[in-house]
Amino acid sequence: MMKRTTVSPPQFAERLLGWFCKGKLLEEILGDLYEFHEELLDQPNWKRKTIYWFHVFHFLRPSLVKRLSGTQKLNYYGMLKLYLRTSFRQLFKHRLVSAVSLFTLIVGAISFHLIYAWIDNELNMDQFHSKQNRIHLAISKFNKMSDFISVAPGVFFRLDYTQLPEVEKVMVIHAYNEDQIKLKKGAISYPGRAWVVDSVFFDFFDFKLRSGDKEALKNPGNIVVTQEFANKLFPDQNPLGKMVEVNCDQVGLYQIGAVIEDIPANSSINIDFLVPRHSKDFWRRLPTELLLVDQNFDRDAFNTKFETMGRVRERHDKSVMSTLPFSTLYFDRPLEVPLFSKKGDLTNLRAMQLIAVIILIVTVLSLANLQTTIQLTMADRIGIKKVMGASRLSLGFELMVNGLLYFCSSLVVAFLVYELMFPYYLHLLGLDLDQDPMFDLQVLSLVLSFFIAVSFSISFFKIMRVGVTESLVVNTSLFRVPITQRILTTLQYALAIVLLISTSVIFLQLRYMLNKDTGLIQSNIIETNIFELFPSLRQDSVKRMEMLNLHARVVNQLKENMDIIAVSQGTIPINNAYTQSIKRADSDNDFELMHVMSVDTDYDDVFGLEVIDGIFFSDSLESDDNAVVINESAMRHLNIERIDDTELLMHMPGGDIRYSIIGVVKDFHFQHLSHKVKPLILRNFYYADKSFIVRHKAEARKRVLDFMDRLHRDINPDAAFTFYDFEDKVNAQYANEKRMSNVVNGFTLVAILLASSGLFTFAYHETKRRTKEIGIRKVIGANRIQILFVMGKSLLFNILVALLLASPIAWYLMDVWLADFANRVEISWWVFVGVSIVTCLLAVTTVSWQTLKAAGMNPVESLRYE
Amino acid sequence: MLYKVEHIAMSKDYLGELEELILLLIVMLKEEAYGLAIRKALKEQANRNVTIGAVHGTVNRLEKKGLVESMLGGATEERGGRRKRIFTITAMGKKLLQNSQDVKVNIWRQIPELSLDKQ
Repeated sequence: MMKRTTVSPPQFAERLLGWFCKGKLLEEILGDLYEFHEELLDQPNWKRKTIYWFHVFHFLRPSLVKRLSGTQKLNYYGMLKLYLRTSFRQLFKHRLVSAVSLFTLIVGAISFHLIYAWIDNELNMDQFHSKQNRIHLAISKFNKMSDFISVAPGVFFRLDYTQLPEVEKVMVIHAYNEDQIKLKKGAISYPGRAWVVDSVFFDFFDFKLRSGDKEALKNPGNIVVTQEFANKLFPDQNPLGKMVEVNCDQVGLYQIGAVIEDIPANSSINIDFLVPRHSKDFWRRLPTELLLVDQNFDRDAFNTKFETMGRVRERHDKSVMSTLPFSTLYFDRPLEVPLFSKKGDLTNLRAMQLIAVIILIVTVLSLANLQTTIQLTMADRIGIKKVMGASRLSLGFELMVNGLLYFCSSLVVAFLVYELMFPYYLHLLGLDLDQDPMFDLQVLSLVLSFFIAVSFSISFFKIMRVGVTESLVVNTSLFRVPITQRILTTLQYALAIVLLISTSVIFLQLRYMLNKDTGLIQSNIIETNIFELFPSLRQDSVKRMEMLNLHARVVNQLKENMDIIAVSQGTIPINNAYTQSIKRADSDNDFELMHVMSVDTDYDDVFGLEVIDGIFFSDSLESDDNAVVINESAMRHLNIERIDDTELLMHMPGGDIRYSIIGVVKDFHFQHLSHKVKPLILRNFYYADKSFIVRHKAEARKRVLDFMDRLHRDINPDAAFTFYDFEDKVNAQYANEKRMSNVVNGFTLVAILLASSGLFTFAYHETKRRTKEIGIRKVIGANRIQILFVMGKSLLFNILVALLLASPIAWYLMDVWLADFANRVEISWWVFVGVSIVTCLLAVTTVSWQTLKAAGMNPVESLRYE
Repeated sequence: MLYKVEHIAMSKDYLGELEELILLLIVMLKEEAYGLAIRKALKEQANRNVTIGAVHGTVNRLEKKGLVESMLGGATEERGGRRKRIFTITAMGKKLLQNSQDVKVNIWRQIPELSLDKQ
């Protein structure tokens, strides 16, 4: 017996075929398709439907399609032809308005899609990993008071994960960034981001392989690189099997065992290569731990069990373990995790969504205005059609053909422009997105049809309300602009003003942050790395001694240079402080985490730190080893009155250490300005292989750079001298705010442009309507400016209403945004005044284009037919 | 000896490659020569994957040229109660097929080694 069909072919397809296929062929065609559908039943649903529809559309061929009978030809085909022709005529007759309409459509659609693509990318972050919901990050803290940290608890507390049946796999990761690891091919170094991972990496994450296999990491002699990075190392060669040297705190020769495809934009993990963790027995970067759990994982129940697991060891009897789901870490990351190179920002996302909606509304309103203007001038034609007995349906059909014309032309242009300008947009807005033409085409056509459908319907219903007699008797260009259109224009302008105010405030905040005195000298400081990592005593004590001698020579040379004011190898004060458990030695409170930075004796000279009490570290002091300098905030926080009386206790794995406080420095910002200055402890300790921070005399920059270049070449004959300006690095912290500012700027421009095009048509229509009035006013003796004032008066009123509507909304939105910043500007009244002036000027310019043209005309021209 | 090829009535009645294949398959399939079966045979015999629409288009063209004729067969359940249209070749169709083969055989015979490789 035949397998019974449980799924019948799509009804709609059959009906569609019924419409366009020749009647006598229909039966066999449908029969064949039915049988064919049966054959496809074992295919997945979407595939079956796609194949089926593909075949249905291939019945659209001349020999199978119905011929139109004579009357049908006249009625349908002929009508379509007529409508197309009149649509074209309309398009050319109202060249200006049509061009503005098309422009509005294209700009609106492209802008919306760009934001949409970004939002889509954000919301789909990391979703391509099939086990995304089963991956959890293990975190821990030493006691209830301290903060959670992401250092691998399994490694740190020596947990036994086999006791937890929910955990299928554990992966320990040491994440290295560009400054910390590089691949070397011969003498050339390629710094990159890398994970030193356990071989189970591909059991966790679904990064696609280009070549090689997923078992590659099992072999300790292999590494895995991305296609992009492989292209850098071995351009135009097959990288598989090539040898490279990994160079970080460990050095070793590895073979490329697999190549993964480029990391997509919707991945918060962005790495250049993977190194098997078991290839060396120690890696200096702190480990992080991810757990792969089973399907029925209950996080709360697990966390309760997991919480106390570290307490089996007496030293950690207060420790707390926990987990965080990987799927929420992108937007909600309560602690520093070294694994991820991106972090989502919900405020940004909401802002972008808001902008997308604003663009959508402004475009639709603009377009509706433009179309109504065209339709109003054609009211007489429609009146005649109505007299001849045209139904609403056929009038609507005509408008639809018109809309279709707009749709096709704008889709082609928008799509081409979008695809061609794509890299440029990304660069301009600083976004990270992958190009996907099919997706773009879908969204663009959807958005465009939405724009056209809504705006055309609005204009259609407006024009339908004009009575037949009215449209035929009265000169059509005398119709007043409908009140709804005025309201729409005002609304649209209000939205544009919201954006304009926002962009001003964001700009001011950005400028404030970039220029704020952080308490540090920022200019004329360069940072460069001269020494590679020194081997440890255990690794190679002879080489280490040699290196240290070399280091002493370099330091001497730097200090002797007259152009150099100060040299330090301390911590660069940009988000580099680490945290340590600290408390006052004489208090009974628990330890708490405080920021600590390692500095050396000249650190205060390089950055111009102001010592307000006691002294800074100096070479002559023997006791510096157990001394610290604190900042004002720490002094306040710990309630220290006299530093001589107080000592600090630092919690260390090997036992707590006492520190005496020798000085206090004025507060300076060592973090992003969205944070307040936190308590900071400075220790006198430095690694000789850390990079050099050099402050030089302003006029001697070139000489110093040449000198450093020579010095660098002496030590590293093969490598090129590179350096960073400290000021650039400080500014780079504000890249996120800068991007936000760029994005809002760009779309504000778009919104204003679109809103202005709406206002422009408004003025265009008004001027046409009142040409005679202008003529009469001129005859009586009015000059251009007076006429401009009369014409602009009513529009200016609209703008004022828009301003009143927009200001409180914009103020509220910006107040919410600024609440995230500990150091923020106040929203002052003159922002609103400035925006008002700009908006009014813009409106006057828009209006005057048309009005001045009319006012410049000889009044005889406009009045002669009366 | 060379074969003289008989001239066929209308010169526009040459056969396209797909047309010829389908015509041949109609002869081969006999009572089972309807749209979907022809498509299946095309896949099996010539490894050609075409849409059902393409097959229908071609057989309709063939019918218009008078090379095949058709009649409706019985309705079956697996076709949703619709009848098949069974195609049979006409005398003219046979003649054209024969002619087409003759032309090719004739040309092949003029290639001395009967092989393309050595040309």
